[in-house]
Amino acid sequence: MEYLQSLQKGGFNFDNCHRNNLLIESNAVKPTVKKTGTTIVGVTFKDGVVLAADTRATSDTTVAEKNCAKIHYLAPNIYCCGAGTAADCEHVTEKMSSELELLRLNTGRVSRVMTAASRLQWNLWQYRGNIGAALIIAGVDPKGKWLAQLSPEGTTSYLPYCAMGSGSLAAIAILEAKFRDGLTQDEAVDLVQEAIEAGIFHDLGSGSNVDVCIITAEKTDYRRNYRVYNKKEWVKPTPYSFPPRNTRNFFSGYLTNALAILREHNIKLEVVPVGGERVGMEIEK
Amino acid sequence: MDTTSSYGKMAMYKNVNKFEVINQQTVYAASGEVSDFQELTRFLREVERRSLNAADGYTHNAHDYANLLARKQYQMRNKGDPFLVQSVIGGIVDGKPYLAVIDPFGTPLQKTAVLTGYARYLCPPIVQNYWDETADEEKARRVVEECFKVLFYRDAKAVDRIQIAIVTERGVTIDEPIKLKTKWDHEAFLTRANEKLHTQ
Repeated sequence: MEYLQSLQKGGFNFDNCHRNNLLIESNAVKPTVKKTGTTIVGVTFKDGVVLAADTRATSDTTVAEKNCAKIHYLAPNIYCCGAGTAADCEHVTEKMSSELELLRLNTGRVSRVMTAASRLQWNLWQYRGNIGAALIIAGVDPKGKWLAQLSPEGTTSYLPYCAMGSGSLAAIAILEAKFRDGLTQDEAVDLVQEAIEAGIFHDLGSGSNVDVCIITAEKTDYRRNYRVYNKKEWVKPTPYSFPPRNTRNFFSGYLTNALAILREHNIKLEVVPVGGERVGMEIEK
Repeated sequence: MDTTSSYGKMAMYKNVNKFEVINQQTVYAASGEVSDFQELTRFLREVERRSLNAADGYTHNAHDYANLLARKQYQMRNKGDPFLVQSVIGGIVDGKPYLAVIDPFGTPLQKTAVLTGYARYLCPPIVQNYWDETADEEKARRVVEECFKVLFYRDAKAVDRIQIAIVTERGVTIDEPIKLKTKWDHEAFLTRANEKLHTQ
């Protein structure tokens, strides 16, 4: 019973993180995490906020996904771009969108960006940066338009414009050069598109196409593949649709064929139906 | 070129002229270790001096100096003791503008636009989108100033004082240093929204 005392009682177990660090230091195993080596950008304009992201997911130096979606849904009026580890961004934002939905059902009120940002910040901080999710949360709520930048370590900054990911250096250069207060929606969309373009063409971790999401007080406009620079030629059809009676009933012919073959070799066969006196087939020579 | 010589993150000397005029058709500048830059200037000036002393009617042009620097930097790199500088030579060769960058390993690259240091990460989209080879001096100056503004915003070690040197067929002009006009009064910064949200 003493061994139970030495087990960790609760909370997150960081043992695997220690192990991973030791492995990396000893050059034994190099884990390739699917990262999103990204350019994500958010800009506030007169009537709301606009988010944009590229669509390349990389696994070390290979492109794992040519047209992934980095703009995640949090609430009808709040969307979130994720950079860093793809799995972390995906799951953390999915969980947060569920939490926000429950909160909306409980309070009967529109979700607020600050709620999402504060909760995510606390969640990320608890894991000390081991959850590699760098997020840009944008939305319009009853208190106004917000753009929040979250780092994986748990820092939040509310900014007029921001960029994250490996392509953020190229994107932020365009934003610093061209941002001004009181942009119109079209100007803002052009600005973010140019910023993501800068990331796509000047950063190797970002590429493919541009996704844009425009959030205003009235509506949210999610434009998937707003600009396509690299078309993904073959796309899996979703959903799969098969016409009825598409496959041959393999087993209906099986028995006839088997009987024919056995007859050829002069083997008599007694077929007994399943559930009858004798189960199965007996071959009599 | 900015006008600072820094000691790590400390901006030790903020009024430094970092352009070295080799001859009236060549200007040399470098990004990186200051002592190596000074050594290479001494080397280039010596070559120019010898060429003048020979008085044989032949002079070296910017292209020659770029190649010379490439060989010199490559030699030291092979000895395992590289010059820790990215050298930039600008000048006029055969009546046409010439610009070359030599990296610390000794690779010479002749280009129409050169970015060194943090500018390699931040400025390529600005240069690509807003400048082309047919630009006139006014446009080139504006693009350079915009690049340095962005660098001042986002490079923690940058200072907002720059100097521009122009080389034309008529000779070299190094302008007086200028202070960049940067904008810090965005609405969001003035209303201090970020601060208020964190102290609620």
